[in-house]
Amino acid sequence: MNLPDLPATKDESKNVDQSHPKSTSDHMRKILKLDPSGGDPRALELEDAIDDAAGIKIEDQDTIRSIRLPAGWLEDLSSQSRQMGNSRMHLFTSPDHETHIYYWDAAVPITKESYLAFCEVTANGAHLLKSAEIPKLSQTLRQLFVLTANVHDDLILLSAKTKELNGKRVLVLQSKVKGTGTEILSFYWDAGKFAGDARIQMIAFQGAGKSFSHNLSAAQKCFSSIEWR
Amino acid sequence: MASDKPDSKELAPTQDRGTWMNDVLDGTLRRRVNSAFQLESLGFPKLATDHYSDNEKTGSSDGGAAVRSPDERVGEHPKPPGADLSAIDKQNRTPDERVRDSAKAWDPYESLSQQFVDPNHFSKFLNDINHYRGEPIQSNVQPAAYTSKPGDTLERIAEKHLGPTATPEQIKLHAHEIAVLNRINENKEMLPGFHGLQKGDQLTLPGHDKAGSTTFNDAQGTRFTYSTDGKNKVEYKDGTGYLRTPTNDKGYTDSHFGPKPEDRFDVTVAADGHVEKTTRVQPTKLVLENEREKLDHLADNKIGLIKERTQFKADMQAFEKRVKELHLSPDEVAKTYKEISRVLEAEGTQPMDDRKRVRVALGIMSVAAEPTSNDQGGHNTCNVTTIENRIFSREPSTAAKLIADVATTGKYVAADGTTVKLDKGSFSTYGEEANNAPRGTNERNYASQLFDVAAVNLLCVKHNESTVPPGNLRYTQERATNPKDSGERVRDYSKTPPELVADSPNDAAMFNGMIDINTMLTGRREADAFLTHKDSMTADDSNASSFSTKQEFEAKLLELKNEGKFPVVLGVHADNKPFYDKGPHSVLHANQVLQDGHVVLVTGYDPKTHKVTYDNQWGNNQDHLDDKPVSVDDLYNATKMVPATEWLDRLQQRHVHLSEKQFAKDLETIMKRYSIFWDAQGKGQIPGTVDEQQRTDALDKFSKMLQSISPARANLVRKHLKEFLEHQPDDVDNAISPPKAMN
Repeated sequence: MNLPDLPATKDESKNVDQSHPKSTSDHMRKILKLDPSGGDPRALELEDAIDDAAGIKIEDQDTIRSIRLPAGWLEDLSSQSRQMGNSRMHLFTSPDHETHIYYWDAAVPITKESYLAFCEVTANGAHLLKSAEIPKLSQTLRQLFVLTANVHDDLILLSAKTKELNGKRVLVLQSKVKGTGTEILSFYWDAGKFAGDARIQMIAFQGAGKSFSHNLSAAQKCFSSIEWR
Repeated sequence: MASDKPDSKELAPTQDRGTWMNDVLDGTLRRRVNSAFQLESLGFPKLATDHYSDNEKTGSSDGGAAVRSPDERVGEHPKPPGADLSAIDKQNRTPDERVRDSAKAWDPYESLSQQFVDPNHFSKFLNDINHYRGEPIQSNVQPAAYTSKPGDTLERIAEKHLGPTATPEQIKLHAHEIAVLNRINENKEMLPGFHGLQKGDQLTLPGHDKAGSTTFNDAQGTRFTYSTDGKNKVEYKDGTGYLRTPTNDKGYTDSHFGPKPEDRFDVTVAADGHVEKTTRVQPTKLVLENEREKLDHLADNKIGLIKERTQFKADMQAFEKRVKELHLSPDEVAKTYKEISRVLEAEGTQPMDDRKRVRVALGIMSVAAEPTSNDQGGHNTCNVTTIENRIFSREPSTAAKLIADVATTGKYVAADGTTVKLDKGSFSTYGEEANNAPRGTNERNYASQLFDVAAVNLLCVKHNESTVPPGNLRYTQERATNPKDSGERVRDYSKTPPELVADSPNDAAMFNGMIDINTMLTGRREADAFLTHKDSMTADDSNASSFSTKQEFEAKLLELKNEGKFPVVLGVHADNKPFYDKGPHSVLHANQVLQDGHVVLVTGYDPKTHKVTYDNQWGNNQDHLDDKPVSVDDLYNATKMVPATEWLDRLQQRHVHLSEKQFAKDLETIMKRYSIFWDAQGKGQIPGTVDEQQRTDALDKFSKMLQSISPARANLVRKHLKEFLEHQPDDVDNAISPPKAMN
């Protein structure tokens, strides 16, 4: 079998006296020696690249077992990120750079009152929320809006409904940012309790004007790809 | 400038006149000369998080109006029709700068390496102090900014600036000081950090007076005068300022002046920053009953919502109860009430309106009542939040004064006289701060936003006024450009347009920064109340109190407790228990391994039970107070770096939940991150020494885990890791930051 000619590690190339290698680098070199039974890794590397080109698959994000991002969407890796305790915000951008899909990688605690109101509305089956239900949710929405777009005062609720998403009941909000064309489609679900805390997890799609409409179907397809734990 | 006409006679560069680098170096080389260390020069991809200027994208000539708060923008620069958030987003951060290929998303090398080698690390800016005060040129010439043009030489620029009466000797001296102050080589010798004069260089030209003092103006209208006898004078635009006279013991005495009586005082500050003596007028003894009655009355009249008013009054009672239980001075209550009354009494719309003043009052009262309830929300401000909560715990009126001062006047004068003025935008409420959320929601309140911004800016001002020419770093809270953004920005306003330095204050206020902020606020040096494990100490933590063993840790806690210094700030690695304990569905965050620096406030210690309580600024649900103390063992372990084997165990435990591809990726990521960590530790670039046994154990475990996946997948991990090790840089900047980010 012809294994690829991989570059030597730094330790290999620098270690003039190979008869007395440092034990750690020797150890590492041994581990990194290709296994002939595994074949050429470049074949699998190509396979992975083709798989990723169809849209990056993300796994193991709290209640999400996996989710497939739309093809060509890129992750924003700026150094600092909003953080809620140990939960980090992940943000992906569409190829036209105009829209985002984002989520907290771990569910975030909300107050007990907000959680109870959330459970009450999602327990009533899939339905479009009636105007009478909204006031009961005001505290919950306030917290969800901050969790979502990091704004509160500027967000206007356009519609609210509950639906089944691959077997899980989710609250779906459509909202827009006051004075701009920015619209947000966001999904929230009960992530269960941990250490006494009621937790909500979310994912959202956000963009302005035509870009929002243009990328909406890709975002919806992405949401539909969620596999739950 | 004496003359700003273009010179008709272009002079060729000579050794005397400075080196004209444009003709010598191509673009790439020039960048390398101008930058101490760039990853690109090693053949690595440009980092998404490299120090970047976002101002050229604002399309504005006013130095970044587009990034200001919306209310400020409405006032000064009406938003064009059709403008929207996404447009602002695009203006501020192009996708090219902020977005990386998702295939690289989990590669840890970029972010970790960036921490090691980023020459624009915020703390490096703060540590970069220049004491050169210019030459004693006795001539009346105003300071100026100048952009170099083709044909310019240092002497030519100096000659034009000084005007026709300048002597050849003065021109020579002026050319020299321009070179030194702007870090330009005067001859072919390349000094570290210096560069050759280039077309388009933005130069600061110092001014002078007849006595030979050197003068500068900054963009805010502050004038700085450095006299030949070693004194400095700083004159702010509002007529206040100070004259600084150095003392023999490396401290100084500032004589503050200004139009109001309270502006005028003297303060002597020791070399370590503590206030030795001050003539600043202290408030006369207050009568608690009077202050309580006044505030109660103001609350009735100013806080319109019954729910908020009721909460405010409940908080007043809770505050008084707390003060009594902790045996704090009753005067603290009166002084705190007085500060809150000042906020509610204020009128007008500057720097904020009535509604915001009510939010400030509610916020101060809430934190004063229960300091441990105050949290950082979605901001990278655990460092200043611990200081805020500590001061609110011990001397609430000091923290209340800072917030009340900025809420009523837009500025704050610290105990040592350091003066901060907040940008208009930092008074805006964008997200959680707009909610005035009740305690227990883990959100930052508006009063805390003002504290955070002012506290970090104390550090910036201290730097700005310590270096020559004066710096102009500022930390602001701005509207987030996308949902992931916390809206925090540090910019260097001495550049045109202002240059973005950081999007978080955390690397500025490591332990030394925190201690300095605390000293400026209280006037006391309390470095012993800032604890960190010795293995986690960097150059930016050198003033903190360190420990190496659990016994030392406990001894320090006991000593601090007995001395009445609780609560105390403690550095932890938050990927340890009890911080990393999120149940069966917890997220591994493999790409964040070794980026887990955090600080908490230790509120109690019982030497008999060996239990500790602490306030975690992540949220009330993360606190371990009297109802759920933790063992000293657990908290001590959390001050140490998580060993690689622990991460590998965590990955192994979730093997069943992951695809083989994801499992292999995470395995590779963990090993890459630890490889670079061990490498840097071995070279002495980060604290501690390599634990050989731990490394061997990790390699053994890694080897076994490779054998648990398919040989083809294992070979791919081997290939990637081998390539990665091959690309590790040999040398990195010595002034590195630690592999942690305070959250």
